[in-house]
Amino acid sequence: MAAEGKTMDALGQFELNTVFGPLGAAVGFTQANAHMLLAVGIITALVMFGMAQRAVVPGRLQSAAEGVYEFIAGLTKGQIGEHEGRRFVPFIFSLFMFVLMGNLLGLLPYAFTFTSHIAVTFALAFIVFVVITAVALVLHGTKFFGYFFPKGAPLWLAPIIIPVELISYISRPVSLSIRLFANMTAGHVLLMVFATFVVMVGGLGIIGPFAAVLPLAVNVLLIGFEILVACLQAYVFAMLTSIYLHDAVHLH
Amino acid sequence: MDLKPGSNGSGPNHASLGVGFRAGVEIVAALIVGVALGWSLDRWLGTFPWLFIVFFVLGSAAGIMNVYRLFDPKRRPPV
Repeated sequence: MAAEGKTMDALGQFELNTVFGPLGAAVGFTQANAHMLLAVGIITALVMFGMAQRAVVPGRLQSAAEGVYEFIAGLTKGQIGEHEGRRFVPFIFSLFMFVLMGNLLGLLPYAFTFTSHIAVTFALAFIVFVVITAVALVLHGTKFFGYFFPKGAPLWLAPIIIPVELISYISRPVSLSIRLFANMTAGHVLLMVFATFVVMVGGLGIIGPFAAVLPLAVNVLLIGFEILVACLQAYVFAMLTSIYLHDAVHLH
Repeated sequence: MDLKPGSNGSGPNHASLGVGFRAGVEIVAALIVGVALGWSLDRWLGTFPWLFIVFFVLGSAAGIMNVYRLFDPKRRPPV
């Protein structure tokens, strides 16, 4: 896939292929689905086995599970409020762990990054959108529609303000999904481009292998950077979701 | 790429790059929504360029409002 001939195929890594032979092909089960199941399995295993012992002095796995949970619980309660935030912790925890596992699994060799597909990130963002709208409607009823027209604005501005606010509200899931998808896709394209450089430059006669060290070093740095981006984007996704939930709960 | 947890926005290049990227994404997202709404309304009502143009402008306004909210100190996320 990397450097066949003299061409560079940086986007081939995002192609979907069916897995598990003819059975997978029959139901259209792709490697993206397989990685999603794997991510869910890892998260479930982390929480189940981590919390199985319930030791007062936690072991390694229990500290990991508790640490992530405390982190998300703190973030959610800090954004939404100590009391109201509590009920949204499971939702944001699931979202955060799923995105984080998707980002991190994708960095392993031969793995597929399902968060690099806009279909996946948009589906996640759309769930968030439905939840924040439903929460706002349940908690505030028709007062929710006052969100689109701030109090005290002159009435003749309504034909301009309401569509603008509406578009701004609808653009939330779009921006949420584009941010995650663009970061993951850009990172993996960059990794692939420099990996291809290693192969191409490495084939240049005697000096090739020595010159190829340069792009290889860049790739080593990029992997570190991508691990940072993977964690950061999962954090940003969770934080923006809790900010939107704050808006839905407190409505302003 | 966004504000690092706990960096309080005082970090050097990486944090500002993240904010810039976020602002760009917000504008593009609002434009996409505006254009998609206008274009599909036009297809439905058969008034091709007009609603498209109107919603393009509304989408830009919504994008600028998104960016304004991003920097509004009242709504700034207490990271």
